[in-house]
Amino acid sequence: MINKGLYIIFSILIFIFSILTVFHKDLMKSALSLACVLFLTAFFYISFGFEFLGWTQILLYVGGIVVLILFVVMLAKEYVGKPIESGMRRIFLGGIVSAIIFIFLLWVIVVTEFPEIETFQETQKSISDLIFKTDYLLPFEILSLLLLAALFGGIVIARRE
Amino acid sequence: MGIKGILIISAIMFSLGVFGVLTRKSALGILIAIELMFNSANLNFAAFGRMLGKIEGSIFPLFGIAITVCEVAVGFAIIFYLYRIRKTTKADEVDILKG
Repeated sequence: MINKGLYIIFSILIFIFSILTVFHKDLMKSALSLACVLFLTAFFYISFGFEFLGWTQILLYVGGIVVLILFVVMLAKEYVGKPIESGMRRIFLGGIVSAIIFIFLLWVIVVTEFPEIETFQETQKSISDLIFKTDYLLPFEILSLLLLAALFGGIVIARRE
Repeated sequence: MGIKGILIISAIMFSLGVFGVLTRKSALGILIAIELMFNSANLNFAAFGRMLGKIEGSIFPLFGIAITVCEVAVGFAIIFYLYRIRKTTKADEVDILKG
Protein backbone atom coordinates (compact mmCIF):
# COMPACT_ATOMS: atom_id res chain seq x y z
CA MET A 1 0.00 0.00 0.00
CA ILE A 2 1.10 3.53 -0.65
CA ASN A 3 1.72 5.61 2.47
CA LYS A 4 -0.99 7.18 4.52
CA GLY A 5 -0.28 10.85 3.87
CA LEU A 6 -0.82 10.48 0.14
CA TYR A 7 -4.20 8.88 0.78
CA ILE A 8 -5.24 11.73 3.03
CA ILE A 9 -4.13 14.37 0.51
CA PHE A 10 -6.02 12.63 -2.29
CA SER A 11 -9.12 12.26 -0.12
CA ILE A 12 -9.10 15.97 0.66
CA LEU A 13 -8.68 16.75 -3.04
CA ILE A 14 -11.61 14.46 -3.90
CA PHE A 15 -13.71 16.24 -1.27
CA ILE A 16 -12.84 19.71 -2.63
CA PHE A 17 -13.50 18.77 -6.25
CA SER A 18 -16.76 17.01 -5.39
CA ILE A 19 -17.98 20.18 -3.70
CA LEU A 20 -16.92 22.21 -6.76
CA THR A 21 -18.75 19.75 -9.03
CA VAL A 22 -21.99 20.18 -7.17
CA PHE A 23 -21.84 23.87 -6.24
CA HIS A 24 -20.07 25.64 -9.11
CA LYS A 25 -22.28 28.06 -10.99
CA ASP A 26 -20.60 27.44 -14.35
CA LEU A 27 -21.43 24.03 -15.82
CA MET A 28 -18.19 23.90 -17.80
CA LYS A 29 -16.11 24.20 -14.65
CA SER A 30 -18.42 21.78 -12.89
CA ALA A 31 -17.75 19.16 -15.58
CA LEU A 32 -14.01 19.80 -15.36
CA SER A 33 -14.08 19.29 -11.57
CA LEU A 34 -15.94 16.04 -12.22
CA ALA A 35 -13.01 15.04 -14.44
CA CYS A 36 -10.63 15.76 -11.55
CA VAL A 37 -12.72 13.63 -9.17
CA LEU A 38 -12.72 10.71 -11.62
CA PHE A 39 -8.97 11.05 -12.11
CA LEU A 40 -8.31 10.92 -8.37
CA THR A 41 -10.60 7.89 -8.05
CA ALA A 42 -8.49 6.21 -10.73
CA PHE A 43 -5.50 6.80 -8.45
CA PHE A 44 -7.32 4.93 -5.70
CA TYR A 45 -8.05 2.01 -8.01
CA ILE A 46 -4.43 1.76 -9.10
CA SER A 47 -3.22 1.88 -5.51
CA PHE A 48 -5.59 -0.99 -4.68
CA GLY A 49 -3.80 -3.07 -7.29
CA PHE A 50 -6.54 -2.85 -9.94
CA GLU A 51 -4.43 -1.27 -12.65
CA PHE A 52 -6.70 -2.29 -15.51
CA LEU A 53 -9.72 -0.76 -13.77
CA GLY A 54 -7.81 2.45 -13.10
CA TRP A 55 -6.70 2.93 -16.68
CA THR A 56 -10.16 2.04 -17.94
CA GLN A 57 -11.53 4.68 -15.64
CA ILE A 58 -9.16 7.29 -17.08
CA LEU A 59 -9.75 6.28 -20.70
CA LEU A 60 -13.52 5.83 -20.57
CA TYR A 61 -14.61 8.29 -17.91
CA VAL A 62 -12.14 11.14 -18.21
CA GLY A 63 -11.48 10.68 -21.91
CA GLY A 64 -14.96 9.71 -23.04
CA ILE A 65 -17.77 10.75 -20.75
CA VAL A 66 -16.38 14.09 -19.57
CA VAL A 67 -15.58 15.09 -23.15
CA LEU A 68 -19.16 14.15 -24.09
CA ILE A 69 -20.47 16.27 -21.22
CA LEU A 70 -18.33 19.22 -22.33
CA PHE A 71 -19.57 18.82 -25.91
CA VAL A 72 -23.21 18.89 -24.85
CA VAL A 73 -22.64 21.85 -22.51
CA MET A 74 -21.08 23.77 -25.39
CA LEU A 75 -23.68 22.67 -27.96
CA ALA A 76 -26.60 23.61 -25.74
CA LYS A 77 -25.31 27.16 -25.51
CA GLU A 78 -27.71 28.05 -22.73
CA TYR A 79 -25.19 27.80 -19.92
CA VAL A 80 -21.84 28.80 -21.40
CA GLY A 81 -20.53 31.67 -19.29
CA LYS A 82 -23.85 32.16 -17.58
CA PRO A 83 -24.32 31.29 -13.92
CA ILE A 84 -27.17 29.02 -12.92
CA GLU A 85 -28.91 29.67 -9.67
CA SER A 86 -31.30 27.53 -7.70
CA GLY A 87 -33.73 28.76 -5.09
CA MET A 88 -32.97 28.90 -1.39
CA ARG A 89 -35.89 26.62 -0.50
CA ARG A 90 -34.62 23.95 -2.87
CA ILE A 91 -31.09 24.16 -1.43
CA PHE A 92 -32.52 23.92 2.09
CA LEU A 93 -34.62 20.81 1.37
CA GLY A 94 -31.88 19.13 -0.67
CA GLY A 95 -29.38 19.83 2.09
CA ILE A 96 -31.63 18.22 4.68
CA VAL A 97 -32.23 15.08 2.58
CA SER A 98 -28.56 14.62 1.65
CA ALA A 99 -27.46 15.30 5.25
CA ILE A 100 -29.83 12.57 6.48
CA ILE A 101 -28.43 10.13 3.91
CA PHE A 102 -24.86 11.07 4.83
CA ILE A 103 -25.41 10.68 8.57
CA PHE A 104 -27.06 7.30 8.02
CA LEU A 105 -24.16 6.09 5.85
CA LEU A 106 -21.61 7.41 8.34
CA TRP A 107 -23.38 5.65 11.21
CA VAL A 108 -23.41 2.34 9.30
CA ILE A 109 -19.72 2.68 8.40
CA VAL A 110 -18.61 3.55 11.93
CA VAL A 111 -20.69 0.87 13.65
CA THR A 112 -19.78 -2.04 11.35
CA GLU A 113 -16.71 -4.12 12.21
CA PHE A 114 -14.67 -4.76 9.09
CA PRO A 115 -12.01 -7.47 8.91
CA GLU A 116 -8.39 -6.44 8.50
CA ILE A 117 -7.20 -5.72 4.98
CA GLU A 118 -5.69 -8.90 3.64
CA THR A 119 -2.40 -8.87 1.85
CA PHE A 120 -3.09 -8.70 -1.82
CA GLN A 121 -1.72 -11.77 -3.47
CA GLU A 122 -0.42 -11.04 -6.93
CA THR A 123 -2.39 -13.49 -8.98
CA GLN A 124 -1.40 -14.35 -12.48
CA LYS A 125 -5.07 -14.91 -13.25
CA SER A 126 -5.93 -12.22 -15.74
CA ILE A 127 -9.17 -10.30 -15.91
CA SER A 128 -10.02 -11.73 -19.32
CA ASP A 129 -9.77 -15.26 -17.90
CA LEU A 130 -12.12 -14.25 -15.12
CA ILE A 131 -14.64 -12.72 -17.49
CA PHE A 132 -14.62 -15.33 -20.22
CA LYS A 133 -14.05 -18.54 -18.26
CA THR A 134 -16.20 -18.05 -15.18
CA ASP A 135 -19.69 -16.89 -14.32
CA TYR A 136 -19.15 -13.35 -15.59
CA LEU A 137 -19.67 -14.35 -19.23
CA LEU A 138 -23.46 -13.93 -19.21
CA PRO A 139 -23.38 -10.39 -17.72
CA PHE A 140 -20.71 -9.49 -20.25
CA GLU A 141 -22.87 -10.61 -23.19
CA ILE A 142 -25.96 -8.85 -21.80
CA LEU A 143 -23.83 -5.73 -21.38
CA SER A 144 -22.75 -5.83 -25.01
CA LEU A 145 -26.42 -6.04 -26.04
CA LEU A 146 -27.15 -3.05 -23.80
CA LEU A 147 -24.32 -1.07 -25.43
CA LEU A 148 -25.71 -1.87 -28.88
CA ALA A 149 -29.20 -0.77 -27.80
CA ALA A 150 -27.80 2.46 -26.35
CA LEU A 151 -25.92 3.11 -29.62
CA PHE A 152 -29.08 2.74 -31.70
CA GLY A 153 -31.13 4.70 -29.17
CA GLY A 154 -28.69 7.60 -29.17
CA ILE A 155 -28.62 7.78 -32.96
CA VAL A 156 -32.41 7.55 -33.31
CA ILE A 157 -33.09 10.21 -30.68
CA ALA A 158 -30.48 12.75 -31.71
CA ARG A 159 -30.68 12.58 -35.52
CA ARG A 160 -32.17 15.41 -37.49
CA GLU A 161 -35.60 14.93 -39.00
CA MET B 1 -6.02 4.52 5.99
CA GLY B 2 -8.13 1.40 6.23
CA ILE B 3 -11.31 0.59 4.41
CA LYS B 4 -13.33 2.90 6.65
CA GLY B 5 -11.60 6.00 5.35
CA ILE B 6 -12.30 5.06 1.76
CA LEU B 7 -15.92 4.25 2.58
CA ILE B 8 -16.32 7.63 4.29
CA ILE B 9 -14.90 9.44 1.24
CA SER B 10 -17.29 7.48 -0.92
CA ALA B 11 -20.22 8.34 1.36
CA ILE B 12 -19.30 12.04 1.10
CA MET B 13 -19.24 11.77 -2.69
CA PHE B 14 -22.60 9.98 -2.71
CA SER B 15 -24.39 12.50 -0.51
CA LEU B 16 -22.94 15.41 -2.48
CA GLY B 17 -24.31 13.71 -5.60
CA VAL B 18 -27.75 13.41 -4.00
CA PHE B 19 -27.57 17.10 -3.10
CA GLY B 20 -26.69 17.97 -6.69
CA VAL B 21 -29.54 15.90 -8.12
CA LEU B 22 -32.02 17.57 -5.77
CA THR B 23 -30.84 21.16 -6.21
CA ARG B 24 -29.62 21.58 -9.80
CA LYS B 25 -32.09 23.14 -12.20
CA SER B 26 -30.50 22.09 -15.48
CA ALA B 27 -30.77 18.51 -16.67
CA LEU B 28 -27.06 18.57 -17.53
CA GLY B 29 -26.15 19.40 -13.94
CA ILE B 30 -28.37 16.58 -12.71
CA LEU B 31 -26.58 14.10 -14.98
CA ILE B 32 -23.17 15.33 -13.75
CA ALA B 33 -24.28 14.77 -10.15
CA ILE B 34 -25.50 11.27 -11.08
CA GLU B 35 -22.01 10.57 -12.44
CA LEU B 36 -20.62 11.48 -9.02
CA MET B 37 -22.95 8.94 -7.37
CA PHE B 38 -21.99 6.23 -9.86
CA ASN B 39 -18.34 6.91 -9.15
CA SER B 40 -18.78 6.52 -5.41
CA ALA B 41 -20.57 3.18 -5.90
CA ASN B 42 -17.73 1.91 -8.08
CA LEU B 43 -15.18 3.04 -5.50
CA ASN B 44 -17.03 1.03 -2.86
CA PHE B 45 -16.96 -2.12 -5.00
CA ALA B 46 -13.23 -1.73 -5.57
CA ALA B 47 -12.54 -1.05 -1.88
CA PHE B 48 -14.36 -4.20 -0.78
CA GLY B 49 -12.57 -6.20 -3.46
CA ARG B 50 -9.30 -4.86 -2.06
CA MET B 51 -10.37 -5.73 1.48
CA LEU B 52 -11.06 -9.35 0.55
CA GLY B 53 -7.86 -9.52 -1.47
CA LYS B 54 -9.54 -10.62 -4.70
CA ILE B 55 -9.04 -9.42 -8.26
CA GLU B 56 -12.79 -10.03 -8.80
CA GLY B 57 -13.39 -6.70 -7.11
CA SER B 58 -12.34 -4.93 -10.28
CA ILE B 59 -14.85 -6.66 -12.56
CA PHE B 60 -18.04 -5.23 -11.17
CA PRO B 61 -16.79 -1.62 -11.47
CA LEU B 62 -15.89 -2.39 -15.08
CA PHE B 63 -19.48 -3.42 -15.76
CA GLY B 64 -20.64 -0.35 -13.87
CA ILE B 65 -18.51 1.92 -16.04
CA ALA B 66 -19.95 0.35 -19.20
CA ILE B 67 -23.52 0.84 -17.94
CA THR B 68 -22.69 4.47 -17.15
CA VAL B 69 -21.51 4.95 -20.71
CA CYS B 70 -24.90 3.73 -22.00
CA GLU B 71 -26.78 5.95 -19.57
CA VAL B 72 -24.76 9.04 -20.46
CA ALA B 73 -25.04 8.48 -24.22
CA VAL B 74 -28.82 8.10 -24.18
CA GLY B 75 -29.30 10.82 -21.55
CA PHE B 76 -27.33 13.39 -23.47
CA ALA B 77 -29.07 12.45 -26.71
CA ILE B 78 -32.38 13.16 -24.96
CA ILE B 79 -31.09 16.46 -23.51
CA PHE B 80 -29.74 17.55 -26.89
CA TYR B 81 -33.05 16.74 -28.62
CA LEU B 82 -34.86 18.62 -25.85
CA TYR B 83 -32.66 21.65 -26.44
CA ARG B 84 -33.36 21.55 -30.18
CA ILE B 85 -37.12 21.43 -29.94
CA ARG B 86 -37.63 23.43 -26.74
CA LYS B 87 -34.57 25.73 -26.57
CA THR B 88 -34.12 24.95 -22.90
CA THR B 89 -32.61 22.21 -20.77
CA LYS B 90 -34.02 23.32 -17.43
CA ALA B 91 -35.56 20.25 -15.88
CA ASP B 92 -38.47 22.02 -14.25
CA GLU B 93 -39.56 23.89 -17.36
CA VAL B 94 -40.06 20.69 -19.33
CA ASP B 95 -43.13 19.37 -17.62
CA ILE B 96 -45.38 18.58 -20.58
CA LEU B 97 -44.84 15.64 -22.86
CA LYS B 98 -46.15 17.18 -26.09
CA GLY B 99 -43.38 18.52 -28.33
